[in-house]
Amino acid sequence: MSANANRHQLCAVEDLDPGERLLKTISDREIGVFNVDGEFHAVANYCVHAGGPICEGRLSGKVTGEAGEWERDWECEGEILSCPWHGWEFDIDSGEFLADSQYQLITYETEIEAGTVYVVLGSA
Amino acid sequence: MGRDAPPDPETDQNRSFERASEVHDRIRTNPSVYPSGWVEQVRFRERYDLPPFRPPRFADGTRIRECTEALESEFGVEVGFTAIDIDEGWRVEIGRDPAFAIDRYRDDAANTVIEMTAAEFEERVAKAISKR
Repeated sequence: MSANANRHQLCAVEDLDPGERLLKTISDREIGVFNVDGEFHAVANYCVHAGGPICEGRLSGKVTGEAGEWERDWECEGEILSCPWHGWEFDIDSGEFLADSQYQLITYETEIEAGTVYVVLGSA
Repeated sequence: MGRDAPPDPETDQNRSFERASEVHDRIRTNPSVYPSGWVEQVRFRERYDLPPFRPPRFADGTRIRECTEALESEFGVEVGFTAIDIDEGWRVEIGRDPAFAIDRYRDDAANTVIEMTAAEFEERVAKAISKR
């Protein structure tokens, strides 16, 4: 751990390729860290809906389109996290529930230093 | 071990755990004496009207934190839990080295339970450390 008592080492950058995740308990928290195209996102492993293990869910994308238009697009591949219990979907970066942004997962800041990924607790 | 399954009240109702609601209330009313991760969970669950929080435990009800802290103090090495491939499940790491796999689940109140007793866990950790 660094001089910042809230900063905890997660893994080496090289140990988590894009699209991969790591779950870890830190200070009695269950935290998932995800490499999304080289950006690291850390999320508490509890869904807002029923407390399910959200970080063990599927990563995918989302369908977008304009109201009243037939055309639809598939976007944000690998950035949408769905809960394995009931399928609630969240933006991995903001932690927001796609259907209603007032519901939000606990997220934490991540930092990279000297090839190591850190999570900063208390940054939710 | 597979992914966590949805809670099954039928299988959890007879477990002799301390009531989650009582633990939750104690943390809520006196947050300064409890670990920040527990307080964070209590506040999260109250915000979204989720089931009460109970700190992660072993199958016999022993809190994981208390057990791992005692082991870390005794052996002078970090004891943690990690899942790298979620389909392969969680494992125990000792000094950041993989030691052995564990089964775990979320109970009817969405709280984590490890499927072994604290005594079994202590024995396995001690054995793993002796082989290092």
